[in-house]
Order: sequence, then C-alpha cells, then structure tokens
Amino acid sequence: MSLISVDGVTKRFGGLAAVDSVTFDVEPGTITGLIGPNGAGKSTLFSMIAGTQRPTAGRISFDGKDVTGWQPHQAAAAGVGRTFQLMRVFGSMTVLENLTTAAHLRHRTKAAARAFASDICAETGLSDLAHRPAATLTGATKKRLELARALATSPRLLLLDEVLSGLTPTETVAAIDLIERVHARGITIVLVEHVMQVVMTLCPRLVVLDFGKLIFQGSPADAVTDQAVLDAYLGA
Amino acid sequence: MTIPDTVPASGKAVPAKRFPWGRYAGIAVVAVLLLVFPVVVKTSFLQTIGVLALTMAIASTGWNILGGYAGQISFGHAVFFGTGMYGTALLVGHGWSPWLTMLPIAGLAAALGLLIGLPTFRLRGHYFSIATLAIGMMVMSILPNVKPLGAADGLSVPLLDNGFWNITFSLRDKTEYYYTALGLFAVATVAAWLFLRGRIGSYLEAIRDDELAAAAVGVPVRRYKLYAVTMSAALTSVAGSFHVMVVLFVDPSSSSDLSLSTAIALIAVVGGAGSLWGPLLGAWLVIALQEYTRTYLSATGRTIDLMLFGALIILVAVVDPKGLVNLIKRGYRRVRS
Amino acid sequence: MLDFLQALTNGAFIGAVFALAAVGLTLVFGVTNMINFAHGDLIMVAMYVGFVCWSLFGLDPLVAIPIAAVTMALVAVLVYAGIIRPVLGSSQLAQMVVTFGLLTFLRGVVQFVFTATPRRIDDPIVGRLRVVVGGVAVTGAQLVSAVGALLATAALAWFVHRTETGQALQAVGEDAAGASLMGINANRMYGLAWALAGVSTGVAGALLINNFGIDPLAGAAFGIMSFIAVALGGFGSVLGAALAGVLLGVVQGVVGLYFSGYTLTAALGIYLLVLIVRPQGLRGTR
Repeated sequence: MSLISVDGVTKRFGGLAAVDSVTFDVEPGTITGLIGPNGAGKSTLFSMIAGTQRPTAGRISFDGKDVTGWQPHQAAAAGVGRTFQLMRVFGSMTVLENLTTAAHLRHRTKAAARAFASDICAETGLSDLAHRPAATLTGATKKRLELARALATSPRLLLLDEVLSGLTPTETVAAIDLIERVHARGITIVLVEHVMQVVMTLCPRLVVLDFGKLIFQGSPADAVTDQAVLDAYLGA
Repeated sequence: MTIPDTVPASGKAVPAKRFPWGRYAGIAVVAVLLLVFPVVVKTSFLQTIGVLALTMAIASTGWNILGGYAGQISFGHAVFFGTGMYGTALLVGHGWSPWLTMLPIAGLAAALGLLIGLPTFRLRGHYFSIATLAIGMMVMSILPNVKPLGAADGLSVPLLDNGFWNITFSLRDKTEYYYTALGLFAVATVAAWLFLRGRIGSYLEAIRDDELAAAAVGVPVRRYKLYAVTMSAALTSVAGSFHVMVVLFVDPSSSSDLSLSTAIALIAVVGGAGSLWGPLLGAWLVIALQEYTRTYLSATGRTIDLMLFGALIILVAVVDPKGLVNLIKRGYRRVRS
Repeated sequence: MLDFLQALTNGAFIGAVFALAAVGLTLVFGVTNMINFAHGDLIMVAMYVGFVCWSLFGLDPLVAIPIAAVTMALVAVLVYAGIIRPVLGSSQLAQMVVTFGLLTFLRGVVQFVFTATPRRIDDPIVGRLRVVVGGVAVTGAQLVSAVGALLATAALAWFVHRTETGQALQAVGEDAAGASLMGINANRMYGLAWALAGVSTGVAGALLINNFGIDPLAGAAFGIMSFIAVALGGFGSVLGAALAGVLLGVVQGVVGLYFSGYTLTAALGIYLLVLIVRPQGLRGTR
C-alpha cells in the first residue's frame, strides 16, 4: 500500500489554481523527486500533505487513511516530517534545544528527548554546534538543522523543500550523503529541488509539475526525453 | 505502523556544558539580598516598595509564562489581577481565610483565561495584543456597573485580627508583609519553574519562535497556548489576592486599569521576558523608580519623575533589548573573559 | 429619529478624526512593522503646539494646522532617529518598551512645561460657525475637523498609493531586504513613515483643539482608539484604518445616545466581534 496517496488534489487562491487536480502515489521506502519550474505549485503541494494548508478539492491519504485537511501537528504525530523553503529554525534556542523540542514528540521526559536529540546531532554532524544559538548559524547549517529537526520527530515520511539550494559543492556533497543515509534507514523521502544533477542521481522516480498540473511521472531517464517536461522547462 | 529505530551515534558525541557556577552564585546573592532587605532598611517607605515589588513580581511571573515564554504579549493581564483582588475581597468579606481564597480564585482566573484565550489565540502577533488590550478595557468599563462588586465604589476588605492566617499584620512595620510576599514569590517562581521545565517549556518557546515550525514538529499550538494562559492567569490572580490584603480595598480603577496591565507587562520585559528572574529584577527596578521619582520629585509638582522614569525605561530597552537579566549575563561573561 | 441622526452625525465627525489618527499609526506599522504606543501622546503634544500658537502668537487653530504638522513631523523624525532606530532589529518587546517609555516621557515633559491644568482655546474662528441641515446641527468645529481629517487622510492615502515614494514605502514594508536590493534606502523610508505619522498627528491635534480641552492625558483616549481602529481596519491598511476610525466614531456616537456610559464598551465590543469573524481586520492581509 502506498504511504502517501494524493488524489485529484487542487488548491485555489482566488481564481488561480496553484495546484490543479494532482494525482500520484508514493511507495514506502522510496526517494521521489518533485520538480518543476518556479511557481509550479511544489511547495503548496508539500504544505497540503504536511497539513499547513487545506486542499480546495481532492483527497490525501496517509497509510491508507484519509487525512485531507489535517493539522500540521497531527501530520507530525502520524510520521510526516518536513523542512521549510524559507528556513524556520527556533532562533532563541540552541541547536540541541531545537532538536530536543522536536524529539519531545516521541519522548515524554526531557532526559529521554535530549538523549535522542544528541544522537540525531551526532548523526547529522551537528555535535560541534550543539550549544550554539540557532539564530547565529550560517544558511547551510540552518538547513542541516531543519533536516535534523525533522528527523528528530522520528518520521516515516520526510518532505524536503529545497534543502540543497544555495549550498557550496562541498556542502552539497555532505547534504546528499546525509540524505542517502537517512533513506538507508527506511525513511520515505520526497524532495523538492532545483539542483538538477542532484535530483537525477538521487531520485529513481520523478514527479513533474507545471502550472499546478502534474505533467509527468517516471524515471529521470524518461523525464529528460519527455516532450511535456522539455516544454515546461525550455518552452515559453 | 512502525517508526524507525534510533540509530546509534555515528558521529561525534555532543560536548557537555560547563557547570553553571555563575548562575548558582547569582541566585544565592539575590536570595541573601532579598532576605536581609527588611532588616537592613527600616523606613516604611522602602519596605512598602519591597512589598509592592514582590507582589508585582508575582504578577509579572504569571504574565511571563504567556508573554515571555509563549510569546503571546498580553495587555489585559489586569483582568486576572483584578479577579484575584475582587475574588479574595468578596470571600474574605464572607468570612473566608484569605489563604484559602487564593486557590479557588486562581482557578476562576484560569477559567477566565481559557475563555479569553479560546477566541483570541487565533489572532497572531499584534492583533492578539490589541485584542487583549480591548478586552481589558472592556472589563474596566463594565465593572463600575456591576453592583455585587461594589460598582464604582468598589469593595473594602474587613480588617481582621492580626495574624499570618489572616494575612493581616501591623501596619507600622511592614516586615511581616514583606516576608509573606517573599515566601509567596518563592512559591510562585517554583511553580512556574516546575510548569516550564518539561516538555511544556520547550513547546511554548517553540511557539514563541515560530508557530508554523512548532506545529510541523508536532506541537499542538492552540492547546499549549491554552495551557500557558491558564497558568499565567492563575499566578497573576494570586498576586492580586495577596495585594488586596495589603491595601484592603479594591475598585475598578485600582484593579483593572490599562496602566496596571502595562506595568505588569513592562516589568517582565524590562527585567527580561523569557527568564524567571526577569520579573523579579524588573519589578524592583520599575517599582523603586516609580515610587522614588513620585515621592521625591513630584513634590515639586513638575513631574520630573515621569520624564526620568520614561527616559530610564527607554535607556534600558536601547542598551539591552532583552532586559536586565541579559545585561547582567553579558556583563558577567565580559568579566569572566 | 432626529436624535438618532444627530448622534450619528456627531459620531461620524469624531470618527473622521479617529480615522486620521489611525492612518498615521497604521502607516508606521505597515512600513516598520512596529506599533508606536506613544502615538496618542504625539497627538497630545500636537494639541499643545496648537495651544502655544494661540496663546503666545494669537494664531487661530486653523492657521496652526500647518505649523503643527511640520513641528510634529520634525519631532517624529527626531524620535525615530534617537530612540526607534536603535531598537529596530530587536524584539517586538523591546520596541514596545521604548515607545512606552516615550509616552511617559512626553507626558512628563508636557506637564513640566504646562502643568496639568487643562487648557482651552477660547473663541476659535470655527466656533462661530454652526450649520443646521434638516434639523441636524453641525458645529463649525466638527465640520472643520471632519473636512480637515478627510483631506489629510486622502492626501496620505494618495501619497502612499500613487506616488513613487509611496510605492517605495510599501516596498520596504513588505520586504525590507528586497527593497534594499532595489536601491531603496530602508532607513530613509522608515524616517519618512515616521515623519508622515508626525504630520497626521500634527493635523489631528490642531483640529481637535477647536473642540476639546488640552491636558497631558488627552492623548490616552485617542491613542487607544487609534490602536483599536488600526487593528479593526487591518494592520498596515490605510483605507482600513480610515474606515475603522469612522465606524468606531459612529458606534460611539449612536450608543452614547441610548446607553450613555457604555460608549467605550460598545466600540470595543464591535471591534472584538469583527475580529472573531475576520481575524485580520476589515482590510488586513497579514
């Protein structure tokens, strides 16, 4: 059974359809790339899956259950972790405190949450910065923190929104390595990305949006030869 | 539904934090100062400042939970303070012991907090603050018309026999009021500390920093805001209950004025919102400033006190926007290095 | 029925002044994202400026309008440069404290110079005027206040929406970083927003002294009404603040006719009701 099932999901703002009748499934344990030109509706789609926004029409199912219009904290509790396109770290807290807060979802006591957060810290290479205030971190490190924080909620599905944009080549390699390690744990990943080479190599499956509509699903190899995809990226 | 297991640490371990000698030393110093205060200062004027400062510190500690930790800035906390004042005044008038009134009235205040929070927590940022201001003013404008609460004249608290149980002491020497207030402050601070130390504290701070991100990591934002307002209202109400036993009188203007709400908020912010010490430091500074300038400078009728007070408040905010507590922390760090 | 119309009219006229006061406040918020708690007291200072013009120089309040506007613009810019700018990057709490300190300071200064004795302008020019339309009386003061307020509000709104500088102001309000990249000096825009707010308080104050007494606490009531109007209209919306100001004035006027003593309660009640239905205010988007 698919982990996420998006069925005819539409989101309208006034007269404009940011997402237009999109339908696709995500199987557990996969990495899927969600790509498309700017404004194609990718982040909006993420928001609807994660509960930050409500679909105007359509259904979203998680693990077979209808979860359309659920609240973000319900999504988190069910196992959906996400990062934000514009970084949203908890600025007044240290790195470790950011992770501890997220870890509290599955760990009741402070001690247990902190211990788990420490593990996540170590695993994501943030140990040296554990006691640094999150607001003072560089952009790339903040993105890493967001990813770590999403991990600290012990998610089954990870929605990564442009975690690779603006990174130097070295940082990109480290980030890809982290994503692959996370995937190796069995966590399902859906990536929104603009950095094409990365997406092509990381994701065995792509979903392509353009103007809110789904125009292609399939392998990267097929995507580069698909007319609709080429038109979307290269056309007028 | 399986959740992936914890993977054993593959990178370096998190370095341990240094033992906070400075913090404990600071607490000790403050505790000693507070304890010897009434012994060292014998004038009634200063002792009154002490009692009032501690009372407001309790009220602001309550405010701090909602405003400093959860980030929801309220300008209507006088409503909860007033609940404490009116509630205790009423019940003591019916023969209750003042101490026994505190918990039930705090519960009433908590319920009021819930009632106010339910519709207003949908509002973000400034909208929420102005709404609390409006609610506070509404209460103040309605109170003079409420007969059972004494209407515009208010209520007097009957003068009970002296004794701790009645929270009534000799008025010549404020020492006993002071130590009672100090004890109450300690209890209130410990209560706030216990409330905030576990998951609740982290969740409230997350809400303050970024509601959207907080929800994304599983925080039920609305529910936790309601938790915060109930505790916040209860503590502020306790301060009101105590205060009415000191002044033995309550009326609409003394209990729900906008200036009272502003003072409660200001004290926490000047002292350092988001820290449990903020309200204490802020209260002493603000109340001392207020009383000193009013007594010694307004005698000239030329309100230098207001100017000075205003200027000093501005100075504190500009020098360290995070409040006195942060100023002290920074100074301490400077000295250490 | 006539009483009702009279009350409605009175309310609308005072509402026009609320509108003007609110517009200045919402402008500062829209551009700098901070609430100036001392706004009402700036109006109070403007009232005293008008009073000084009258008592020292024999100038009628109408003549004092431009003087007050310019003076208050200068005061506002000074306030901005001196105490607001240092805390712009800090938390909302710090900004709140600073403007609260300013409020207290202003009241102290004014009381120091003028004492707390209430003052009045005797025999303003407009006081001699009185118009009766269909049984409803409108005093010259009301007329001038309303007209002046509407004109000033319209001028501000025009400036913000129709001029290039106004667009720059809006740009800074929406995205200060982005605006800087486009070459707009954010600092200058903030100062300009404060200056404009100063102008609005100057005009409002000079108009009000035709009708109202002047004392150091005169700003409090107007300040509060300004905040309510700004929130009701939607933070940052000039049109919203203006509409809300008039609405609040009308509500107060009408309620005052039937339930005197509850005017404030009613105004606050309307505001809270609207908020429940529309949390972002009448015309707010944030």
